[in-house]
Amino acid sequence: MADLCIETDQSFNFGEASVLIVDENNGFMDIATQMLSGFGFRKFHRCNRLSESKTFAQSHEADLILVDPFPRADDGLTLIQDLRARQAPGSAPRVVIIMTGHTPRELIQKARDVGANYVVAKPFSPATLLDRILWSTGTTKEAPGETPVRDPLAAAASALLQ
Amino acid sequence: MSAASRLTPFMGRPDGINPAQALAAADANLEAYRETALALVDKAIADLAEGAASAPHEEIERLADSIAALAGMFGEDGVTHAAKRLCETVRGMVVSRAWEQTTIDVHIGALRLIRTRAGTQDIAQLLAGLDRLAARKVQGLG
Repeated sequence: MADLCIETDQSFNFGEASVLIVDENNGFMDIATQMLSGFGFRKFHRCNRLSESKTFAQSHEADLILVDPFPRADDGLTLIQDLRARQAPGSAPRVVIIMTGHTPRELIQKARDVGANYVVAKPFSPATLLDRILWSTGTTKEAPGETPVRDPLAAAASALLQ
Repeated sequence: MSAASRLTPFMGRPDGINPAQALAAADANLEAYRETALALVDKAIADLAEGAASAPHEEIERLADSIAALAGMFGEDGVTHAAKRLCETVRGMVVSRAWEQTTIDVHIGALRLIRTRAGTQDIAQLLAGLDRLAARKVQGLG
């Protein structure tokens, strides 16, 4: 965990947090679910079609959203944009993480523009995912001597350089 | 003042776990899924071998993307590398409008070979060859 910001004295209970996973790759949805189950998440909704996820997102709330926009990147980003647009003013934002095997700079820029918190490049380790989740809570202190990454684009670039 | 995110209220709740416990549980869960994931990789390679000649490029790319993502999670670096090169090659050929089935077949053959555990040096040479092929296709040279 040398390059990550995980603090060992934190504790969390994500048992009541809801998760939306969107990925056309069912196998990778299983992997993401396995990781998140290890972190204590229990409430999952999984969609292997973006259209299905949009329908779900219109009527349900999710605290954490993991999206692989491949192969229809623009549709995937529109989902995030719609979610951000519906956020009530002053309310805490959902955590949106894009996970993708395709990481052109254009995608990272667009992800930032629509309000994604992070982009993580597939394959990624459980530590990388947990680091992004804990960082999003705002409870992670800056590690001494490390440069904090607050800008979403810089965070995405940092994630891609894991 | 509102929380930093909707996950913030779950921090410090009773009956929680710490990061080390979370990562240990996640690693154990992933390890338990390894065989299933690698079976999916082999199935996707078999699907490519069987249908690549007639499949649309989107399907080839989807399968290659799936192979790269799944294999990469379990340290199958050679398979991941070859699958990513296949993705790049397909995209390069689509952009240059110069489809070359033989090149696709070479990548699929490489994926099968790597999964059958050829010698490390052989795999390194194989991957270097795929890198050169992919670079030519991306640049529209080949």
